[in-house]
Amino acid sequence: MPKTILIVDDSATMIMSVKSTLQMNGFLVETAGDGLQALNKLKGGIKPDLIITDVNMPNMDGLELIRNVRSLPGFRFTPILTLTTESQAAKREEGKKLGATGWLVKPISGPDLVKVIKQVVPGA
Amino acid sequence: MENPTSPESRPQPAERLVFLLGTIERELGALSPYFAILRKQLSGAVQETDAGVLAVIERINEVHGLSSRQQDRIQDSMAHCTALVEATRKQAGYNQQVVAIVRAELQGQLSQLNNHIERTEELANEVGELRKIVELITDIAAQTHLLAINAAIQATHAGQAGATFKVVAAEVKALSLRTASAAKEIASKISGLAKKMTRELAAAKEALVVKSADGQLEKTIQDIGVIEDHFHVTSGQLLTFMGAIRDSNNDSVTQLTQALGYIQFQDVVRQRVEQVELALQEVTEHAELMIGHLGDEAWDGTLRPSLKQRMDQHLSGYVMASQRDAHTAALGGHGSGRGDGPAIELF
Repeated sequence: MPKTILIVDDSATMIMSVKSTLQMNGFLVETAGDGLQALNKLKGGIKPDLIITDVNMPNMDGLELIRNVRSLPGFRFTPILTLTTESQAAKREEGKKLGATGWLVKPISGPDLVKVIKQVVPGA
Repeated sequence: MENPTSPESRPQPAERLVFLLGTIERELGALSPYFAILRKQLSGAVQETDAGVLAVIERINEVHGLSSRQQDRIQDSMAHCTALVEATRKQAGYNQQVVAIVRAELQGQLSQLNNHIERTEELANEVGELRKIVELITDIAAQTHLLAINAAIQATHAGQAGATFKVVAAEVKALSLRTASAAKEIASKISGLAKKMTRELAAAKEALVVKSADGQLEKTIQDIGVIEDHFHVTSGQLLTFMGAIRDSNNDSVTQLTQALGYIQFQDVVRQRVEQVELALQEVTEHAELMIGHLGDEAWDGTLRPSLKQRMDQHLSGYVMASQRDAHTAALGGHGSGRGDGPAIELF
């Protein structure tokens, strides 16, 4: 059964790029334009096997999203990867404390992204 | 006429200061629309690259769609081809069994026919030997007949004494005649039998020729085997070829996803350009702050925030190491040349 991945980014080009990469590799994809939209989708009932989120976004940033997702019932162990241009150690450390599974810095090649996903999503 | 450069026409220091301040105010005021133009240009460039990148992604998706459909067709073809090869392999196995059975049956029939011919020839030879015996019997009968005639003559010469012997001679003569007659009949029967056997032998040899002509069947069987071998080799090559196309399609997906990764540079560039736009906005605000103080007699000459403070604030707002490096290098410093951690880190 194909795994579902939620992509959260305020950049349309990033959404399209990552979405296409994942679909080409057999994943189902959901998208959200910021953290708040993503949170509403999760509360609305979608149950992705992985969340890939940008960090710097309007309305609700990626770190706040991680904090909120971890407090949602059923999402305690859902893998969450950040995919961001943000490279400051402090932010990275904060993401780790909030429960991020990994920190990926843009740009990342398609094969590398798929390799990481297979590492963090059981059965992917 | 008044000389504009004459001491009388020159503005007094206070007037000159007002004049210069006016010029500075106008120039600083012009910075705002100028920077607005630059921001607009940068924003337009980002929008154009956004549209271009989305179009490229769309084309990449179309290429992948074509490739996927091609791969689906190839997989279907491979499945059909594999099934065909398997069916042919099984059929070839059945064919070989049938060939073995037919070949054994044929060999058996040929062997039986050869045995039959050999036995018939032996029988014909034995019949030929019988003919010699009959000839001998015929000859003996003829001689006995002559002997009986001579005995009858001698018995006649002997008169009454030879009367009995004359009877015996007559019996012997009659016996020789019956023997000759029987021998003739036997010879006739043997001749008829010999003719029948000759015909039987000819028929058997003809059958042997016909059966041997079934070598054509053997050749046909061999031809079928050759065709099967060719099919096996060709279908194997076809499967290899299709496998190569499938691998090539997989490589294409890898290349396309690589290309999609490179496209993410546009997002990185967009964020850097947005920082430049933000900086232009800050400089515009700073210029407006300066303009606001130009006519203020109570202004103590300080600007809060100062341009230096704005730059420092801007530096702390960068998210990328490359932004911080460029900022530091422009001020004569040295950047780290790398981020604050690995590009891929799993916690």
